[in-house]
Amino acid sequence: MVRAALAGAAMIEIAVLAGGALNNWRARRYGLEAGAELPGLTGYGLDIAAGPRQLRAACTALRLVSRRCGFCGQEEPDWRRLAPMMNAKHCELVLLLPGLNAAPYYPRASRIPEIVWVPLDWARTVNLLVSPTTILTYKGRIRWVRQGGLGPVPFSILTSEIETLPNDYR
Amino acid sequence: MSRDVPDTPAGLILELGLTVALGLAAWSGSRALGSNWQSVTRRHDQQVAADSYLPSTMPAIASLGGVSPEGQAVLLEPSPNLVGSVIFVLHGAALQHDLEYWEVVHRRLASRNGVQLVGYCDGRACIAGLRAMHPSPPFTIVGYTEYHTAKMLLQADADHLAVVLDGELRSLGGLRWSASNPPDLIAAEISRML
Repeated sequence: MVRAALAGAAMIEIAVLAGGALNNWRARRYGLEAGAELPGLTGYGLDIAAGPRQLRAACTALRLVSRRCGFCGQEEPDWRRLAPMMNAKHCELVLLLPGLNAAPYYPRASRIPEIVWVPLDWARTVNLLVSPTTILTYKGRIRWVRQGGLGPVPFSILTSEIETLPNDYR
Repeated sequence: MSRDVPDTPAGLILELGLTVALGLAAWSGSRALGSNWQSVTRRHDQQVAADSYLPSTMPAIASLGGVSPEGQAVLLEPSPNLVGSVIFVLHGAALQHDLEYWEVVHRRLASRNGVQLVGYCDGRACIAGLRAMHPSPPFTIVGYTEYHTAKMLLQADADHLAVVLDGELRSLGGLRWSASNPPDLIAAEISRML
């Protein structure tokens, strides 16, 4: 029984590792890897009259989310837990919605920017294929990226990435 | 006695502990595997969606509208009179040429009611160029569009195609537009498709 369990567990772990490697390979293929430059995004939210929104903060957490995405909702408690730390680090949370039918993600009264319309050249250079995707950038470069939901391990990595950011910048 | 059976109670406890630990690892791993698998299949689905300028019975895009280069809302609601739309990318590097090309197409389609042309800027250079030129083309120009629409347009443009949509935004196929395919031919092909 032990040997069977060992063999089964080993096979599952190998599959998990292979899946992770496949994810990483795809992330590299699409240029979403730590250290790469994230092109500056200027886009519009639902309130077009408010003018274009730009990612201005030195630290930005850009999330691709959709109302129809179950994993997006599951990670909301994680983002609420992260909010105080992100505020302390002057790290801005910005949402990118894949289309108008995904907007608004948060209630309209929320002060979290939601970008719905983007220029084509930005979409050309940034391939986001999964909702949710989280991209943490610092000074225009990708510091950490997660394509898929935040589980306990990715959440702890994201937390430590934000923790290690300096306190004295804006 | 089988070699799988522990000889002592301590051995039994050790094996039980190991089995429980492996079981937990397998349970955790299977959840991670499921998550990875869903991630991969969804990426595949969305990649297929990005290629959706190919003829399909499903709408290729959610909407045609967006934001104009000047920052105004572009609302293109489907109307009962709408037969179809032709959407294409305007290139900042060849803006004047592209505008003239599609103006000719528009003129050739003047007799066809219910066909609308919509050009999408290929990026900030095109947007800046249009702001500077103040052109008044006879068709709609969108500067900023939905991310998924942008991906589909870019995929089509990489193949040098404009996309013909029916009144419910279903793709009827792509049309190669280039110097070798003069606007007259494109207009005739649009008329044939719609």
